[in-house]
Amino acid sequence: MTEEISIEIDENGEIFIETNGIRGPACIDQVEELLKDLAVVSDTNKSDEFYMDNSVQVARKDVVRRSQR
Amino acid sequence: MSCRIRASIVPIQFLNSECVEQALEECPCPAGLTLQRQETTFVVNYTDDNVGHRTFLRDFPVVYERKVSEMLERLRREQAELKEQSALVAFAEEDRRRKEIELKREIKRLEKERKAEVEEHKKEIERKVEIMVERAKTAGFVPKKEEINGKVRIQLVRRV
Repeated sequence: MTEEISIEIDENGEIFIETNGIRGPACIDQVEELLKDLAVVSDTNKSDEFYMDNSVQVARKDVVRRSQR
Repeated sequence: MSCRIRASIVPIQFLNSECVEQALEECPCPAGLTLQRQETTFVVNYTDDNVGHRTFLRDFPVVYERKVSEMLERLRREQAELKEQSALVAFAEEDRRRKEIELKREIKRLEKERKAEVEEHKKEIERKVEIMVERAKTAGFVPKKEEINGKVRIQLVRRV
């Protein structure tokens, strides 16, 4: 499996970043790590996949909690 | 796709003290960030995630740029008016020439400053893009960089 990040920077310094294959909040963490102290983030758009992965994690935790009871 | 992010490498160096002053008056930082004077340049640098600082860093260059445009526009209008007036009214030739030279010099200075700011910002973008690529390499990504129509495109791929 591969993780991809596409970065486009125009001559005024405007940056557009798209990630592919990085699941959940890790994608934002990864991008923020790249941009830290270099650019100001103005907009973050999370895809369905982002939330889907989170809900899968929550569901898993719920199953673990229930099985521990 | 996991997420889409918009960001900007903002200009951090400004040359015109009058426009810096006016822009700061109109757009002060809500969290107290300000510009530091370094000889003839005003510099603003940032190292934190403070929301107020981020807003200021994004908005200040826009307001500053508008102030420079307004100043240039005003000077050009004065220049045009001077030509019209001298044709109509008996303007003292010496006064007219002095004023004309003054305006011309001021316009030239502003245009030169603006050009220098753009060049400096370009260098800053290049420098920061290189840092980004180095960070990506450290994180295990393989970067592929290309330039198309003045835009830099970087494709980062990592096997997991």
